[in-house]
Amino acid sequence: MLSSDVQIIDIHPDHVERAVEALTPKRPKQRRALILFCEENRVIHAVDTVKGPSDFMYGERPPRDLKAVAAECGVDFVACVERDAPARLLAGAQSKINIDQTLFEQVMSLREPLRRELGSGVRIYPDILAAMPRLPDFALKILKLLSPKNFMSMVVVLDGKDVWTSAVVRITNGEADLITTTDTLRPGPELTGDMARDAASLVKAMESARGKVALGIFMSRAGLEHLIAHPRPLGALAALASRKWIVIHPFPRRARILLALAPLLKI
Amino acid sequence: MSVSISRNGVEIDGKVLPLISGEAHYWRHERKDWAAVLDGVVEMGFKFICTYIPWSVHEIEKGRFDFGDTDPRKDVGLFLDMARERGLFVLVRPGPHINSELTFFGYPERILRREELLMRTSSDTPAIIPAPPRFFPAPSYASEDFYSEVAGYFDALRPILEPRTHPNGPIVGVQADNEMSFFFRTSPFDVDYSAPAIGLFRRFLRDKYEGEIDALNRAHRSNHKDFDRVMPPRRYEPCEMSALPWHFDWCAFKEFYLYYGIKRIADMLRARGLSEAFFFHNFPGGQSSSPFHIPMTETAVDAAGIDLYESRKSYPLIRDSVRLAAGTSRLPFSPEFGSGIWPWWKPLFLKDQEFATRAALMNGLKAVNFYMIADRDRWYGAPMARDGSARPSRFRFYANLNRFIRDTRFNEFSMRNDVLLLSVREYERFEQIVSLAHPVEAGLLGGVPRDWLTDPKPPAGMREPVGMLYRRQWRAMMMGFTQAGFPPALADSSVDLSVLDKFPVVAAPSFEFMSMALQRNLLVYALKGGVLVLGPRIPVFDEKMRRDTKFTSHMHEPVGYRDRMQVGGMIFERVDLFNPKRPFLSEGQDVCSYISPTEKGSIIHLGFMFQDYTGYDRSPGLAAIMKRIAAVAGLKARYTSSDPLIETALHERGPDRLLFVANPTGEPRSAAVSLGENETLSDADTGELAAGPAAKINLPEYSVRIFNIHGAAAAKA
Repeated sequence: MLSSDVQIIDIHPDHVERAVEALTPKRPKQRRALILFCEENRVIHAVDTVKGPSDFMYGERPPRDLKAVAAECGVDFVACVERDAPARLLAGAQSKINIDQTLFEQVMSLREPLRRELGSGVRIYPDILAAMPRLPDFALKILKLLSPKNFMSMVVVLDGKDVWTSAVVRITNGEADLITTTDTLRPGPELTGDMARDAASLVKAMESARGKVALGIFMSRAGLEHLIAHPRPLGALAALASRKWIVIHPFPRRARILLALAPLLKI
Repeated sequence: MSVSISRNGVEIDGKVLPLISGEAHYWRHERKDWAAVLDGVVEMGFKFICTYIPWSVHEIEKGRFDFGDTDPRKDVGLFLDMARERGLFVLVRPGPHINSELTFFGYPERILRREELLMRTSSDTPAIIPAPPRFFPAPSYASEDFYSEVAGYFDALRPILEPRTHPNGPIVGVQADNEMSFFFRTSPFDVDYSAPAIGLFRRFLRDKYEGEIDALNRAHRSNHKDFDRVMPPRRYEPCEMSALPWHFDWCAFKEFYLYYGIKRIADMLRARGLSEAFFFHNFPGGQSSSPFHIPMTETAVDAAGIDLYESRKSYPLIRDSVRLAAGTSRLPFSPEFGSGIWPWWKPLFLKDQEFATRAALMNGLKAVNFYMIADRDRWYGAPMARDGSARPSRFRFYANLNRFIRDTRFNEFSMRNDVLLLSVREYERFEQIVSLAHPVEAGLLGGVPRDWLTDPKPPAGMREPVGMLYRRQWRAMMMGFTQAGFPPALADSSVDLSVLDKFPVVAAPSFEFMSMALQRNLLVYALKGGVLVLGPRIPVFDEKMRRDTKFTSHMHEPVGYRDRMQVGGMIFERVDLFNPKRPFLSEGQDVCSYISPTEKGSIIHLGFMFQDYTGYDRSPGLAAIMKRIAAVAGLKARYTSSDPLIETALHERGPDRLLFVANPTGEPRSAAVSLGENETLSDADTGELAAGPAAKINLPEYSVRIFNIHGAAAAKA
């Protein structure tokens, strides 16, 4: 999460654009949802987010089986929302948030009122929370154990002698307090096209500009595309690193352990 | 020696300059980089620069400020002096609301810790603003104590800003507060229910009903002993139609609340030596008209603009927001127009900036502050990096844009519109009142039209769910006139009658109720010779839901009704049938629309609902109806495109003409644009020629091309 005085500086717009294009599915499927508004145990309004309002189930009891409704209406999602549920949800969250909390704590304040409403005031098919990919508990514990509270890491994708995209994040006391790109190196080092050599010079330049780099990951565009497409990117990263297709420099012991454990962690 | 604004820009000592500005934040650049940033601004051709002056940055502790004594980056006086040395005029924005992605939006933390200064929600919680990197409770602009705190900050600014205000210094414009919008929480029953706000509501009612509690009780169907006992509604309960004025008064109060805050801040700044400058405000773009009220706000400041951060995929929103500002404001101005974006928002790249900028100019934008002109903390995508060095492709775009505006004197052109389409304030208020998204602003819910999320059951006594139907009719009118070759101007229905008089055709969706003031304006417009288009219903109630209409002698009572009816291949819904002397649309014997002559003009009543058009649809039938309406006013479409999805807009200055041609879709298109006799087009960027009478024009996806029109018709004009 972000520190309250996080600096987000020298973000090269081309780096963002390339990263966004690389990470965005080429033909995103248009998702359709059906929202059923209910009051006093009756459906008072139905909206298909693509086709518009309809009188589907108007005046009837809210459906129990939302999956069957999704199949009947040919939509990807169904939400059944009690008229006052959003107000209750927001009121519950707002009464718990204050400016002394961290951003993480503030976001987590939504959890309890959300849990109260989900399944009663707000029902959603498919169960989004259950469908979200979750790491096994042991994997989370290992990740937490191996994540230092204070460190700076950089990820750079190289395209010949140019930086194609990059991200540099500094974590202090567990919160990001600096986010930048290699654009912060002005003038940046001359790159040679040799990934290992370029990694060393970029790390050196970043250290003189912004402080010690604990972890640096350098790859080609092809390497990035391979990682994005892979269902277990950490495992893929370990494999590419062992074949020297990706340069990791510096490569701290915790990161070595993490990569070694990647097949076990299934991430 | 004076500063004023006009439709063409800012008039400074008698000389009108197009208001094209760029925003840079001195405290976010190293002091050594200021010169490079300012030099870059000049090199790109800007004459104006704009900056916030944030309270939380300058206040070290209550009553103690750093204006460069400790941190050289905070020397705002020096920054202003350096701007002046380079011949730049400056717009300052001292808040107190800044946003600009600052933690706590520029309010000192100590202010947000004083509970008595904060807004309350209808659930009686603080109103938390979920803005990274820290959510925070919003202050209340109804609180007197809040204004006392602000006064302390403005007092501290005075010795720096007053001597640097025109004619002694570069400051020519001042923004009073920022994006006044209840911090984007515009749902009517969300905020502000703090004690000071409720007190202000009662004061508003007392003024509105001239201190007569009986008058309020008659309007609200209530039984209050005095104004101090009136409470605001906290949610919409399905009710009798007659209970609506209470809700409407709350919506009207929320518009007043924003005006009140802007006026208080503007007056405080004027009183501190800035009165020589022009004053402005910026409403957030892309939201509904209410609680924003440009005409009312322009009685407190000189210009009220709209902020836009839109991508190339948002053409309809850009078009409608800009045209509404162009039709309603003294100066169609975007005080924040995205040139780059903050990191926790959807990305905005150069191709977005190019398209959005050209689309905004096409639709009538006359003044703009590009936000940001140099990257800074929590911002990327500006034409300069944080150290003032150019990001070449972006830098070139803004330099070329400034050259185009200067060389063509674009600020002196006016967009040609023969049709005016009104956004009717009372229906937009109603749409918000019956929103099922409460307390969330429906416009924030991911692209679903807000009218789709309204209660379909009308209040008892009301014939139809106006909240669900109004915008649908509006969209059809907008699309129909556009595809018929009459791109309509847009305006808030609270504009003066004199605005209506400029147009041969004025259209407004209309339902059973309408404010008396608007009914009067519309009728007078039609009596004086205009062609007025109303429907599906002619109003028979006023805003207090009392049976009252101005249209008695110009309307026909329905003689029948159909749920659906097919006319000329089009499906109409909720159709009233009439037996008029001058039918306008009919199928066999069934007449669903008629023309009612007035003294010098006419009223066309479309007694039905159009179908819902929400995307880039083609509807030749709809366009044909609008063409027939235009023909009643003797209008003939010009510069129309063979592809109805390609939009054109004509801008004129005397005999000079510019034609904008836009492809707002995600695929390349080509279209034939009809020209007058012996006219030709030349591309303003490339010089490429296209000859008439049907000039073939290729348009890449999401592109706007600008052409000079040459030839006989132009010369004749």
